[in-house]
Amino acid sequence: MNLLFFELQNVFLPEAILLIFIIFNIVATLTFGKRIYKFSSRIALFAVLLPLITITAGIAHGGYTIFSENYIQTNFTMVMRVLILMGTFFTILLSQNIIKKLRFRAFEYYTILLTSTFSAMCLVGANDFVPMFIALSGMSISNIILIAYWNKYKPKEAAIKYLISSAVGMGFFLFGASVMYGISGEMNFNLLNLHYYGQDSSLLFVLASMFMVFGMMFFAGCVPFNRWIPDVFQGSPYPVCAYLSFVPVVAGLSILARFFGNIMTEAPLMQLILSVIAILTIACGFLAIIRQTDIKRFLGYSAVAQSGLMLLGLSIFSSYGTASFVYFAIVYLFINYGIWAGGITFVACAKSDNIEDYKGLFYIRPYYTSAFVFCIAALAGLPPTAGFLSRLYLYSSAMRIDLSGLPVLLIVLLITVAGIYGYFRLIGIMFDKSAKRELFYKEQMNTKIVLYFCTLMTLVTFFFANQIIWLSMFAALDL
Amino acid sequence: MFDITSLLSLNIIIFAPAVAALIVASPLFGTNQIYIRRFTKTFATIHLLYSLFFVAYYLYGSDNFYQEITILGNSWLSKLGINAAFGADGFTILLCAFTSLIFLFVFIISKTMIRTKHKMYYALMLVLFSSTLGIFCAKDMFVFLLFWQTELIPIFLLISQWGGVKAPKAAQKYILYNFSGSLLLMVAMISLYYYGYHANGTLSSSIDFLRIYQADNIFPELLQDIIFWCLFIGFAVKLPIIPFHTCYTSCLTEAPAPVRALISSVLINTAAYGLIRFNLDLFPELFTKFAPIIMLIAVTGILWASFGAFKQKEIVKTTAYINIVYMGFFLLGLSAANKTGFDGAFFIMFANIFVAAALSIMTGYIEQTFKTKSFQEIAGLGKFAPRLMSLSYIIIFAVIGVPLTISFSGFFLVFSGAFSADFADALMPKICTAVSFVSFILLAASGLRLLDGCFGGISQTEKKYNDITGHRLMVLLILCLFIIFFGCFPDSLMSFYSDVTDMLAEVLRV
Repeated sequence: MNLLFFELQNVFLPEAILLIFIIFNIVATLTFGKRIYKFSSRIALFAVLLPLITITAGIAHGGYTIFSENYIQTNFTMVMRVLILMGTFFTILLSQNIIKKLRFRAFEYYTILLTSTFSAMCLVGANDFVPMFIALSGMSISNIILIAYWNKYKPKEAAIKYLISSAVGMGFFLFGASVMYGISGEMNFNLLNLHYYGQDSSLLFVLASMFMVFGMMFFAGCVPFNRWIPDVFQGSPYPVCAYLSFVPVVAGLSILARFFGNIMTEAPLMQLILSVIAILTIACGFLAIIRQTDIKRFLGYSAVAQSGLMLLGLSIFSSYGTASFVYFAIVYLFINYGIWAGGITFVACAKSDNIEDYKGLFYIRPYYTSAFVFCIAALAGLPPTAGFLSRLYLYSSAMRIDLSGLPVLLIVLLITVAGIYGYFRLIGIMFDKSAKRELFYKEQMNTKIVLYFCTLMTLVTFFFANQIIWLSMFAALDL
Repeated sequence: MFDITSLLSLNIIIFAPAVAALIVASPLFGTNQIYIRRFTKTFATIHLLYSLFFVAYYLYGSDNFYQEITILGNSWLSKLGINAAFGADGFTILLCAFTSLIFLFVFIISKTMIRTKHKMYYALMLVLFSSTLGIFCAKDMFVFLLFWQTELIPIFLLISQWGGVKAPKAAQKYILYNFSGSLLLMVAMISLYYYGYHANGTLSSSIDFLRIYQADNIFPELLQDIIFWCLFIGFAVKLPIIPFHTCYTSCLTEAPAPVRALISSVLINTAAYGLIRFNLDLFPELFTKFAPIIMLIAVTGILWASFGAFKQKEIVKTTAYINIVYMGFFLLGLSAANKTGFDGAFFIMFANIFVAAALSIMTGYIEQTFKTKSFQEIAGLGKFAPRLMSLSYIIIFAVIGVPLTISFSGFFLVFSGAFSADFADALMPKICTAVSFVSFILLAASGLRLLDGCFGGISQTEKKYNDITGHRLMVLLILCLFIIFFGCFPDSLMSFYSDVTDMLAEVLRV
């Protein structure tokens, strides 16, 4: 018992703290929530900050397993869990506007959000198919509730769409996992690793892992399963979109990285499939943003393209590729939340989701727009932002193994031109001098903080790239 | 003992404009246009004086400059093997000084040519300033690429915000072309970077390092060819070389006059500089191998663009095509692959800075006073503007390469270099030079047509127009003085870069 507690403290402490707060939120919803709903945001922020501190302060160390090797903590999972927690932290900051409308139902909202975060963290650390499946179901169910929760929007259809796609995705995953169990008799990653060591090229194994990968593709919004993203985004409020475009994506791709790093260390066929999926995803995202008129769909498709780029990093099957993925994810955290914070600000300003209504916003809010444009430049991968370096690192990792990366690189870069066109179109509309408008709106302090902080962080991750790349290498070497 | 060189820092010369841009853009600075203008002009003057110290130091000690970018005591991005450093030899230092000069002039003439959104305009201009200097001084491929891509957003906004009616479309086109070009550069650079890694085991993207192992010829031949042409096309888009010139002419017609002066003089020189630093310096063998093809491209470009310059109906388009012809001659001199040709090409580069800036300011003034771009409505300007006319004569004579103007030495060296080029097919350089002579006549004709169309003839309007005065007159006068000075004393310019051309010719001969 004592030993278990020690291990819990070392590995599961952040999740345990989160769990305690989730239970607290449930109790508050049912009993005394009406009296203290004004503090709900602060409580939720505290619930995220505390695990963040426990992970970063090194109370939780790497290299431990608990629950009979079902759950693992490595450098990689530590970094990724920090990213997920920071994503939730920003989401809570951005949710201020929603909370005003929800009033004493705020605790419900935070219960769902924190449950989703908890599941995402568990997914990253899962070392066995069973906890992985549990975490996946927890994440998808809480996301469905998060989408279907709102009355004002058109969420029900989106939630049904998410439900069906996630069911299909999880079906794929279960099928793959069971085939893998059937041919090896193991479910634990460590034991699977022993079993498959040196016989990666077995076709059945590749087929099974392909199904498993497809299950994860759903959460990352990669190509066969990306249809839910624009519709769900259109039907959800902004903070939920920001959350869905970062946390599940990173969680799904991290477990893939761990799966590839630990079990399938070498599989040329799988590499080919992954690069093809990555290219298709990037193409789908970047080609679709050219003609979007709705800002949410625009950002949704751009999120698809970004997750495709992250998948490209994973498709390299080496620690360089994983390191570039980690660096990309760190940078993308700030870019993503900066972009969505800018979106919230401008929707409050333009009172519309239509991009054409953003005309001339620069002349009303020059500093907001500059920060927003800065984030868009980072999303498009232009210097002087960390977006440029993350692309550079990713592309150069794609070439690291041999020259087979060259055609992939050429195709990806060709598609990127379309993306640039889309992003410059958005910038051009915001700077359009023909529109003259005067709009007033109440500034939201939290949104402002998130926007400026994220813009600053894209610069910081650019100037201190050496240190952050060191961190990503540190994470990638211990999956 | 106190060392004077410790005061001369390349980091300061490159990043000071960016800091100035932050100061101008900050909310504390206010939006008073007079203060903004005075601040930027003072800053540019100080910057010019500071860069003149570099020039003086180079003349005195003839020493090269080198400086690393460090953050928290470490070299920035050493984890990726990027040697983040700036370096400058005589050629680069002179380019930096001239860049600083042109930016100062552009800030001066912006007073009357830019009338709205001053804060944003000057902030973007200063960012452009910084990135241009960064391109010239970068000692690493990726640092070069970083500054190269940093230019995109400022240029896009500068053209689309202060340009004409069709400016947003033109800006978008220019950006798409340039971004595609820079992606080709990226492909080439990443391949170089990793092929070097596989061959040597050292991860580095430093240009000096690449030059050393490049000499060992370890690449497969096909890959080398691909990298070479990727680099060439990437630079050709910005240079501009003929199939890629449409974005350049349309953006130049729509851009406001100060931005036009920048794009046509300084920014296309960054592409020329890249061509020298990468294609010529890193791949000397391939350059000699492909020199005949490059010469053909150059001659086609010259012929096409000089025809284009001759048949345009708008003055700005004519000047745009004249720029393309100049860059064609630059490429012709480079493709000759001998010392004379290189000297000529470099000279054309410097000549283009002054000639293109002067042309842009001249056409900008005419455009602003007459509110039109076509030749027909402008005729008879000489009656109103004798001062502008006499300065324009000097500029157009410089364009068509009359002796004692800056372009004459450049054209002369390019022609003699190209004529004596040592190719396998001995007749080919002769024919190419002859053809470019013919197009040279067309260039002269279009220059004279520009002069005659604007100042000759009888004015059709009753309205009175003012002559050029004040700061614009001063800027044009100084540019004309530079044009004549370097025309009379070409050695003063050539002494700065003869080391570089010597070295390049030496490498090619081996």
